[in-house]
Amino acid sequence: MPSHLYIHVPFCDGKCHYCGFFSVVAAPSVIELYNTLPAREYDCRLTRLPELGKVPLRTLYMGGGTPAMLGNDGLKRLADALSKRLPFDTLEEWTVEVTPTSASVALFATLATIGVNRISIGVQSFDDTILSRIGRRHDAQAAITAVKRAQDAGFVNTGIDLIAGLPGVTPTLWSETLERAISLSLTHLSVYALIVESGTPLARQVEDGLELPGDDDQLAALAQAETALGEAGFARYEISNYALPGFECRHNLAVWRGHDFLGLGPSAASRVGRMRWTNSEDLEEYIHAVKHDAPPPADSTALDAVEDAEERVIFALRLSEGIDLAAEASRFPALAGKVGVWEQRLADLVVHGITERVGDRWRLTARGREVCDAVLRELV
Amino acid sequence: MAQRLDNIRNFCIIAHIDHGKTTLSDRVLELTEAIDLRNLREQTLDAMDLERERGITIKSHPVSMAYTAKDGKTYLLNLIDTPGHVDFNYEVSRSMGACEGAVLVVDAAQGVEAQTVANAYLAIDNELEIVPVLNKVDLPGANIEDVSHQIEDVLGISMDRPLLISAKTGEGVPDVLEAIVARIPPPETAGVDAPLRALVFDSVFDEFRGVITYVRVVDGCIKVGDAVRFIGSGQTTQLREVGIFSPDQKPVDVLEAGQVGYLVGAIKDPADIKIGDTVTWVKDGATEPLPGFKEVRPMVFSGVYPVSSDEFEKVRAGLEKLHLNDSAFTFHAESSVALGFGFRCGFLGLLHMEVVQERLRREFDLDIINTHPSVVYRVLLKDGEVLELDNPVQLPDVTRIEQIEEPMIKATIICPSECIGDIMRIALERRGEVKGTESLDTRRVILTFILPLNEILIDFHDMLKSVSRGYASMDYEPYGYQASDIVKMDILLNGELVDAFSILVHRDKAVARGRQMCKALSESIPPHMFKIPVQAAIGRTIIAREDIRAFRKDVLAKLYGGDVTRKQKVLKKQKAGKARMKEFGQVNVPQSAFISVLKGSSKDD
Ligand SMILES: Nc1nc2c(ncn2[C@@H]2O[C@H](COP(=O)(O)OP(=O)(O)OP(=O)(O)O)[C@@H](O)[C@H]2O)c(=O)[nH]1
Ligand code: SF4
Ligand SMILES: [Mg+2]
Repeated sequence: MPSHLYIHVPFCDGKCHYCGFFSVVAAPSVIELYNTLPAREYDCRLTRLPELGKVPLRTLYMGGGTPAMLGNDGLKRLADALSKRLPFDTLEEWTVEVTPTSASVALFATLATIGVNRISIGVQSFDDTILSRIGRRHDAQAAITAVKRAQDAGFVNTGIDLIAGLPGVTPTLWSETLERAISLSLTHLSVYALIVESGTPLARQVEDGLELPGDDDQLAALAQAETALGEAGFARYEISNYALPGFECRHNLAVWRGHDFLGLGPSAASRVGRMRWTNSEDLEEYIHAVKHDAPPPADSTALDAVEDAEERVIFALRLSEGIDLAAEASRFPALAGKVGVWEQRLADLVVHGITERVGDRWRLTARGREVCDAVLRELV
Repeated sequence: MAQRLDNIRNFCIIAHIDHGKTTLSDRVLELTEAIDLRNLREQTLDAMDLERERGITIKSHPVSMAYTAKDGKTYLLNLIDTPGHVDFNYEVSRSMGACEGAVLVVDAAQGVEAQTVANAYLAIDNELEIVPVLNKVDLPGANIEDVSHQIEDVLGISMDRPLLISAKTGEGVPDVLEAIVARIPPPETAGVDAPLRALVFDSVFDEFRGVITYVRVVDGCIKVGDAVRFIGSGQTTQLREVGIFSPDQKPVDVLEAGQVGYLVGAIKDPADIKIGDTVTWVKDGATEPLPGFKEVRPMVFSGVYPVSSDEFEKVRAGLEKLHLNDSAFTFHAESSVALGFGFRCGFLGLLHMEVVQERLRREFDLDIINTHPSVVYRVLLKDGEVLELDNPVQLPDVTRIEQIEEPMIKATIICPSECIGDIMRIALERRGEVKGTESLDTRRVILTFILPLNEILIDFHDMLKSVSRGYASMDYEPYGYQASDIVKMDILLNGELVDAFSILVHRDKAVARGRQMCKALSESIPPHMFKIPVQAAIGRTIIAREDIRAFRKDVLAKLYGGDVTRKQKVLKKQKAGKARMKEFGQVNVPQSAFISVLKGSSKDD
């Protein structure tokens, strides 16, 4: 079994204007049909990649979409189906994404029963005007209630997502948003700068003249978040993720640190050995294939040893812990020819205040985090 | 004993640019019915596409025709139409070597211009009989009286028997033909039976027939099958074809003393033919060569690089082919850190450079970058050695240099009197020295300057035209070398020297040029993640600086499982896009930056 498993639930009760995830508003009968299919997709994958079954499952992440759209019964059935194939006894972290609209007391009770131990709630903003403007289907109060219910159900490890740089959010409003978040006794916060995904209603609004905050304002908002959250004890352990010590998302850390992961469900991506594949964003085909015990259509590639190692190593620069190049070189012999060059490239950027070396590790500075992709481009 | 070939006249048509040489040739071809009227188009002799398109003559064009004069006798006329532009001056002087006379065409509306003077003097030096002709008398602006005076006063050519014509309408042209017969002396020869001596005045290359040599037969005669020798080079060949120009090449059995024609032997490489050489028979040939020509040497240099490096061989092939027909330009392979492998080419002038580069692009379908034109500097080293540099990269360490000399020109500018001030100012700004001012008539003056050649390469012509509203004309000739305070200016990107951008420049001009280069670079290098200083320096002294600001941000907001591989792909792709850039001191420089700085554009200063 894979150590790190992701399950995609491609249903929502509406569509947020900025959303680029694959999710649809579907009839209950379709949702019903989907229900335990990810478990069956696992079977298909396992027959083709037997090594998947060789390591114990450590993290499970259910995202979407809105996993709660499966309903409490549905969630139970899916969990059951999975646990039959992948013993949960080694599981260290099981996260479920929850939207404020679906955050019922019963939902949290169900999640607690099946063994979930981490909740991530999509809040995005604590301002009702902004929320309705971006197509969210809940108000600020619903978000706060959702957090409370999660915590009341015993989920100590509860986090939320916020979007920085939404149009119309002034520094004052943003500061209030951050204060509100801090007041909720959370363990984890994801703070993203708004991205305009092509094909979304937001993209169209921008085309029609909606003005987004400029780079300076966006960076200022992110810096403001870093400061405020930092004062509250949250460490920015990844470019857009903050956690109290010990509450970093293990599943995502595994991804950033370059470990294998298996993704089930349409649009889910996987990294197993040199193989990479991303299931296609087609619910109908997915259902059809998996129902017939065939792997769902996917875009897949096999990387060569160098590309594989490269991908697994460099994205760790997004983490505050950075990279220990010497350690990576022994972890991936294929990198023998690369680490010297990387060492040099990263060292060249020190004078520009973009990188720094702390002990054996290379890290990005605050300025480096603003231009992370440009640094990565130097390395690929 | 010399013998006169009474029924032959060899002459060229010379004039300032656009005064109507080629148009007059059309009329002459018409009158003598040398060409089927159906085949006559405007500027018939300008056969090259580029010539027709630009309306200028680039190469000399010989043509032979029979003319029955009023005296009832039929004469063989060998006419050579010449280019007017100063860059192609060598074509004119070669053509003169094949002639006894020159028809000097002067535009009656414009009057005597710089190349009128230059070409008239060239004809006088070549001891040609000059037949002055006032053309374009049909124009309302024609001023016959004043222009006649100019010709007499400035050129010292008598206008007693004025020929007033319109090459356009044909008015007066028959009189020109009569004057040619009457005034231009027939060629003299040691005899049709004397040992062959023929002057090589041009050569062209034909894909199928090899090298075609243009000759003026001075003594003796040449027949198909003759074994001939080039006295200068020692080359020998058996002639497969001899012919005349009518105006296309037309084979004949024999070319006799006094005639102008062409030879085809078995010579495949034009480099084996030297213009100015003398052809004679292998057996019983002449030993004394005819006086040849002054060798022309390229004055303006520019790098020619393929835009994509895999076209290097195509560029070489193109240059080699062009060179077959235009031995006046030179080229040799060179490499530049910035532009890769290419060629350094030498040209006679800017127009010549443009023409060659344009032909490369067009006739060989090549995408090329041409670098900023430069000149050949002469570097005297302390150990007595003398280097000729056409590329700043080759400059030795300053401590070894005694002095640097730059090529000078003597420029003759004819302009309306009211422009004197402006033109003096431009010339002085360009480190020129006034040598003389002379009035042409009440309204125009002739100014003579000594100027560094380097200073007229960029926009001097444009400036001249603009301050004189098009009325100034210029001619120039090389005027030796002069010691000069030339320095090497380097460009540093992020503190690192990029040799491809180094230039040699006069110390007084360095700051301005440095600023301009820094600006051009800062505008064409995209922002990086850090600020990039772009500096111009002489030695260790920074003389100009521009900064390229860092971009503000470049980071993806979130990156989770599915995104990682996709993200890596995107980064790789972006990186591949950057691979077309060259990296210097952590700075990625796109090709466009090289082009903006090195490119020989005429208006970028
Ligand atoms: N009105 C008028 N225009 C003329 C006459 N002769 C020539 N032209 C025009 O003047 C222009 C230049 O004529 P060309 O015969 O090409 O001049 P050129 O001296 O051969 O020019 P280059 O070979 O470039 O030096 C053309 O547009 C002709 O049509 C003339 O007698 N009257
Ligand atoms: S709830 Fe999440 S997945 Fe669903 S539309 Fe909104 S942002 Fe997208
Ligand atoms: Mg002409």
